Amino acid sequence: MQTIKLQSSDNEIFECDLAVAKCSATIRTMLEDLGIDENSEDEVVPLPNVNSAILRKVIQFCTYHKDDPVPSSTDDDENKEKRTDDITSWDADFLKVDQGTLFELILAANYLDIRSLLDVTCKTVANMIKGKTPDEIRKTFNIKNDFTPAEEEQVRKENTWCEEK
Amino acid sequence: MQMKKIKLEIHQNHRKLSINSLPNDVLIEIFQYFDENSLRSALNVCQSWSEIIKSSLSLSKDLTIKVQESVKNDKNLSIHIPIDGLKYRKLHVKGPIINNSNYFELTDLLHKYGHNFQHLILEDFTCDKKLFEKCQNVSKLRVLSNCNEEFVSSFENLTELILNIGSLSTINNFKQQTVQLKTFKLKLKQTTDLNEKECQILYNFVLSQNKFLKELSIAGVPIDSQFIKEIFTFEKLTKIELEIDKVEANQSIIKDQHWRTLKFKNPNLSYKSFILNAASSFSSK
Repeated sequence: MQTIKLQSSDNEIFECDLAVAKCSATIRTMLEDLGIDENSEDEVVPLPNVNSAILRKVIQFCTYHKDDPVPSSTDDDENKEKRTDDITSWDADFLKVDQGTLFELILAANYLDIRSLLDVTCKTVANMIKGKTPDEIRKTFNIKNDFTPAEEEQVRKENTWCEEK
Repeated sequence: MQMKKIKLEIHQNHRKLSINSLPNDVLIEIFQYFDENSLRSALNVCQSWSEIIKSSLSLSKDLTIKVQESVKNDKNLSIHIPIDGLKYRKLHVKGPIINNSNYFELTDLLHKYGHNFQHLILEDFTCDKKLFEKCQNVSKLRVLSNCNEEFVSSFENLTELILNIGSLSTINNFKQQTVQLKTFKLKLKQTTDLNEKECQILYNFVLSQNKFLKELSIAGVPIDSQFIKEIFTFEKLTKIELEIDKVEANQSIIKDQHWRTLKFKNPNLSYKSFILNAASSFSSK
């Protein structure tokens, strides 16, 4: 089985299946465009935006999902409401991490262009927000309320107006 | 030992990463999973979220206005208030406009939000032309059941037209226009009173779209073989569904065409050879 070496931002080298690494569109493009020789033993793909802890998780995710069928495009189905309740139990367990790690995984998935990981991490965050009031959302994510009192008042008015209807 | 210490520090550093460290396009990915209520909450969390949501077209929501329901409940028209700042893509209006108050409410709404809508569905709906004058961006129009026809000339940028109607006279209103339809679907409900002249209006309308149509579907209207021959010459047409009533089975019609989907619905046995021939010529491609 063909393998490839990936180097994290903190200089740790990970050796993994080529098929696993190719879950990342970014790595795929690197290998194709930059002409990095897949057969070369010493060649290392540097990933300066991903640290070793996150890269280890990413490889774990891709190893588990490497044989997943490529999802068919649903672009033309505009009526379909995007679901967040279809996260598999393996993925849910995999994503039982602190917020910081979750956001790092999202950044890594975004940078490495791994669609399935980006989707499931974004869904997880969406589930953390859904059904909460603005104040609860701010508390959950430690976000500062930067609206002026006048804007707040405006927001409050709009919301009561909506609730009455 | 030294290495481990450094790694721990890096890790702790990353723990400070917050949701607003994520780039805007990733936040939009997250917001896409929201229904309207969650979007409304998110809109009020902080300035940056508010700006992202207001400026993102991909977060557009559908808007449904059911007039009948609101009349029944003795309420005004708007059972669903659009959220200020949110974008709306699809509007579904159902039910007749009955009294003046809900007519004016709908007028207000369409004047304020009309430019947002790209997709409009009208059902059991009677109105005049003026109502939709701000809806210039509608590209997909679906008309279901008893709508009156005058308003259809308001839409000049249509690329998709779906009619599920009772009479062909609606078509006449489109004829005056310069629509360039990629998709046209027609399902006529009552075929009893159809005369040849009315069918000819439909034929002419479809033929006027010969340079643009990619998808065509006609049901409930008799179609003559001359018309079929002509639509088989459309350059871009790749999907066609016809409920054939009167057509001569003729294999040569379909020769050398590049249909991706060819579906004829007719239980009538005498046309089976036509269907079979169509299928075999397709699969041999």
